[in-house]
Amino acid sequence: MSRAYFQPAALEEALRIRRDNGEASLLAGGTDLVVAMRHDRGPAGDVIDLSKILELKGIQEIADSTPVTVNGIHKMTGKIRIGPMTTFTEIMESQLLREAAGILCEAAETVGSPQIRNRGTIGGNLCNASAAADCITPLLCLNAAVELQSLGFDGSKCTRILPLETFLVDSKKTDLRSDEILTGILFQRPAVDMSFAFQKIGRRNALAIARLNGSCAIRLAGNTVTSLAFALGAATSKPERIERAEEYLTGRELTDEDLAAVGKRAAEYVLEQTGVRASSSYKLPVIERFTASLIRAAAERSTTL
Amino acid sequence: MKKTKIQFVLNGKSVSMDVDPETTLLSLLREELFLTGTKEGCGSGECGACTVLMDGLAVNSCLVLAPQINGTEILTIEALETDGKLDRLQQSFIDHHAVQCGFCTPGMLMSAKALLLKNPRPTQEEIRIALSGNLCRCTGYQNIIAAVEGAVD
Ligand SMILES: Cc1cc2nc3c(=O)[nH]c(=O)nc-3n(C[C@H](O)[C@H](O)[C@H](O)COP(=O)(O)OP(=O)(O)OC[C@H]3O[C@@H](n4cnc5c(N)ncnc54)[C@H](O)[C@@H]3O)c2cc1C
Ligand code: FES
Ligand code: FES
Repeated sequence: MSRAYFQPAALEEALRIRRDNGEASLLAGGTDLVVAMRHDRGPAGDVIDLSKILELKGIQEIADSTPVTVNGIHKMTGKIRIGPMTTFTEIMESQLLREAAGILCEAAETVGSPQIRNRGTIGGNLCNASAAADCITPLLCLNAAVELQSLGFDGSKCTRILPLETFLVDSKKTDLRSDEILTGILFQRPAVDMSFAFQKIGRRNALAIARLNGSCAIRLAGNTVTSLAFALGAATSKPERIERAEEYLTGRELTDEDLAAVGKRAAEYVLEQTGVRASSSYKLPVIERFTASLIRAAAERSTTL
Repeated sequence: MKKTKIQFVLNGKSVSMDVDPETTLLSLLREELFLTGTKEGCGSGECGACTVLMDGLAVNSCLVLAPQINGTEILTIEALETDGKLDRLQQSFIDHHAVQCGFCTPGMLMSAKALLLKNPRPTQEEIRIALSGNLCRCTGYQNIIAAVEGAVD
């Protein structure tokens, strides 16, 4: 019982405590960590509570200097930055995200219950790195990056920026180093002619941790797919982009046959990754249809169709 | 674990105390502050029996560590009744037969309270969403939803 509990009010102080306590766990909203602590699977070391650090909260757009015009629509472009301590509720209620990256609000809305959404954070969702984490596939389709900071012994701050894809190593495993804190989630505001969809299949509406979730970002010229980002969660050991599906459909017309074919390719990939399992006979056909329906849903929102 | 000093506002009164950082807000309320209106069901965020308001938002007190309430305002079921008068929500739960064993009721009321504080005229769909993290094993949700609707102007 020699644990210590730290509640720093500033990021720099948190980084210093983290540097000097490599074994300490970071506590955000606690909706994963406190459950784990109760079941004795939890961390044994000191606790660094990030919940009082205002610098880690909030959503901003860092505008580029030149606005662009697409299809006659005058648009700001810029980088969106989400603080890791931003809760699901704050994401759902953000006007900026609704307008720029609504898919993230849609995913946040499906998380747990109001109580869980009021406490659970996007940073906790990424760092806990469950294969079913709902905010991950939208961020993969937005080509998001994570900003990781640490403090050297000489007091200098070190920042690493990694693609989210690289940060996620495996189920429950990230590339976060023992002296680092996730300090930001970054992505470029998507072009106005991209359209998005998020879907999830769960046990029941509230409190459903996804059995399968996924996101799609698509751009169409007429009915031809000119770019596609497609990611599945809870299908393999970590949420990931399914490249062979993306490659197959890019440049093709969006037909029922090709949607079925792309679903088959996604299911094949999952089978290769997971091997045959008891759940395969249920899961693989579901993945086929889920893939087709998700891409169709994103395409139906496209303004150019 | 070494005790940590915290300060917070509990049901309108300022409180300052030393807490074991591994204690949950739920245990703090029930076992140290003797506010036993807040119930423990699952202890893992699934049932909502332990719902209280933290800075006006519904949270599962079983998942909040005591030091995390430092500097916040906590409202529990004990605060709904003022000067011996039931809150409209409480009266409406009675009027609509929305209570059977009563175990889920404090949590239901606090989730409903959080909703009405933010949105005084919710639709039925908004009520359903607000109560979606609260389980009831006996009354059934119809009466509970009707009770919340009954407390809306
Ligand atoms: C009843 C219930 C229902 C749920 N439903 C869903 C659901 O539908 N979908 C879903 O995706 N999840 C769900 N979850 C899981 C959980 O709510 C989310 O994963 C949430 O995002 C975790 O965030 P947190 O702030 O609570 O993290 P915490 O529990 O505080 O932390 C989680 C992990 O992340 C680390 N961490 C947190 N912040 C940082 C940081 N800034 N830098 C480095 N490491 C950090 C912590 O050290 C810890 O290892 C549910 C949980 C419960 C209890
Ligand atoms: S006791 Fe907290 S949610 Fe069940
Ligand atoms: S009244 Fe018994 S659980 Fe709801």
